[in-house]
Amino acid sequence: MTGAVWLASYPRSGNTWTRALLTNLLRTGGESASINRLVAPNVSTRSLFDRVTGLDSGYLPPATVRRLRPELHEALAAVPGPRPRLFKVHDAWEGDIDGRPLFPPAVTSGVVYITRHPVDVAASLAHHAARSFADTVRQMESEDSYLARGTRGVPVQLPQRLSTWSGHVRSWLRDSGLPVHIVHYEALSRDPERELTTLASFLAIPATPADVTRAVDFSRFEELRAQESDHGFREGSARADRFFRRGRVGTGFDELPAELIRVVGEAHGEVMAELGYDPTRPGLSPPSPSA
Amino acid sequence: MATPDVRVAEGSVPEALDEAAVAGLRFQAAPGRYLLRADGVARYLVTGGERVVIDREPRATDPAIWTVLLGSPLAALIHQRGGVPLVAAAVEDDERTATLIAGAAGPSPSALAAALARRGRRTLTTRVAVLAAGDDGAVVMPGEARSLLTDAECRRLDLEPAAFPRPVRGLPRRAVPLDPRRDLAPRLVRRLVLLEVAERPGGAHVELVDAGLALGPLLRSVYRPELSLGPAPAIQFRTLVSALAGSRTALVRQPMNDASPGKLADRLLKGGHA
Repeated sequence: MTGAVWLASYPRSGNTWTRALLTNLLRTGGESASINRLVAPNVSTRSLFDRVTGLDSGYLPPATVRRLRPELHEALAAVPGPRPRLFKVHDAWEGDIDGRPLFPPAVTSGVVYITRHPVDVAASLAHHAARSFADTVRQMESEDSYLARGTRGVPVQLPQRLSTWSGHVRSWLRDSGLPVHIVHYEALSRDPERELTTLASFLAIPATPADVTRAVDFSRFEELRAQESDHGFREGSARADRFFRRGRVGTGFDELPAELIRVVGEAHGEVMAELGYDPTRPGLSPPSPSA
Repeated sequence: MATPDVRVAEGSVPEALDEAAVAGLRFQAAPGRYLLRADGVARYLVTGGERVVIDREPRATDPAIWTVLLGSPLAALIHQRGGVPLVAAAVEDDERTATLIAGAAGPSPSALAAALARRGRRTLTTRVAVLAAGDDGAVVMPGEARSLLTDAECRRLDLEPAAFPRPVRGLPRRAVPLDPRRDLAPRLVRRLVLLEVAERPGGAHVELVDAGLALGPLLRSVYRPELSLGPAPAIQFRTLVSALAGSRTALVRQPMNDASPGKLADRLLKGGHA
């Protein structure tokens, strides 16, 4: 793995948990890695863009920033350092930024696409952004949905186009043409050792069963949540009390009204079926689709 | 008439520097030399801490040329001169002294300066504050005194967005001038407000801190530190320590993107921090 690996996901799908697992797998030591020092920085971090380009993104039109991003991703992938070179991504994949893909294939070694049942995503995202469930479900249906668009000042991240939840999934799994390894949040919850072993193999990270067990133990939800309570989490939302909220499969079905669960199913049923999700039930429908 | 410290002129700028010590996608730097290429706007060459050459592209507008110039080319110039460019704003305390607001958490220093301006404080500089060594301690130089605000931020400050232009076409922010009565006299830094990211949600936490605790946040506020080359770092460090030694320093910890400049301005004024 000489190029970049993009850890891509729609927000609130388990990206941070996956980063915690990989951080604990890649390091040695007798205690859990700090959640404030996880591997895979967000490629949309504004200060990263400013530092690498020499330009102040806050003073540039968003279209100019967007045009520079493929070049930025090439530069980040080429930075010397340990491999695999991991980056967190929430953008939908796009193939035509002034004729170039947002994540150029020439510098991409692979994609880890983390997915979660969209009903659970809706519940988690609503809490995270302090928005109503209905608004969040509408956002997940909007082609024009962005993270960090910056209507209230200059966010610490650059604007990231999400597209719809279905559009996000398809952009990475169908359109990108990049080698993708899928991680289901639900499979990760059910059997984290197995999922992490498979992920490590995809990333060519040497890992013994003991390494995997230790990484899983150090990345338990209770551990991450305790760290957030004790020390805070720099990537947390200003609008939510906690980043690590419930960490369970099926919470969306407990929290969202039945009508909204139906709306999610109607909007995204086709892609959900492709991923092994049943619009009417939480979790992954057995058997789990192969990655 | 006094001789200018810096000459800015239009002219020809090469595509690249020879033997750059630091380079990024659109810039290169070596001791005493800096080159920036802003697509669609201009190439900028800054040399010797005293000369800026701008090679403008045919369709570039003056406001766009200036907006880029007052970013990293200005920072490079200040670094070359041994001054300290900070991601900071400054407001006047009186004719001789100032409060410096530095950091990048919550409301930006510029937005906070705008809120303080609405409460009657004169703005000395926004976006980049230049700190230099003076006879009686560190001084801040007056500079660009405008705040770039989104429409929502304008409305929160009771300003009508349409009254203010966008300095660059397509930029979703408007340039709000903060003080048309600027003068060029440097002010002694006597109060410091350092904005840091809090790792917990909730409102801003404000506390007075000593110089030892404030040094880290102040160092993190240096703008484009990678352009500090040659003998500059040692001179700059002394200036920063001098600013801390002569100032009452408040550390403000608040969550990222939690922008409530008006509320924070009120707290700072009430606590005597600004």
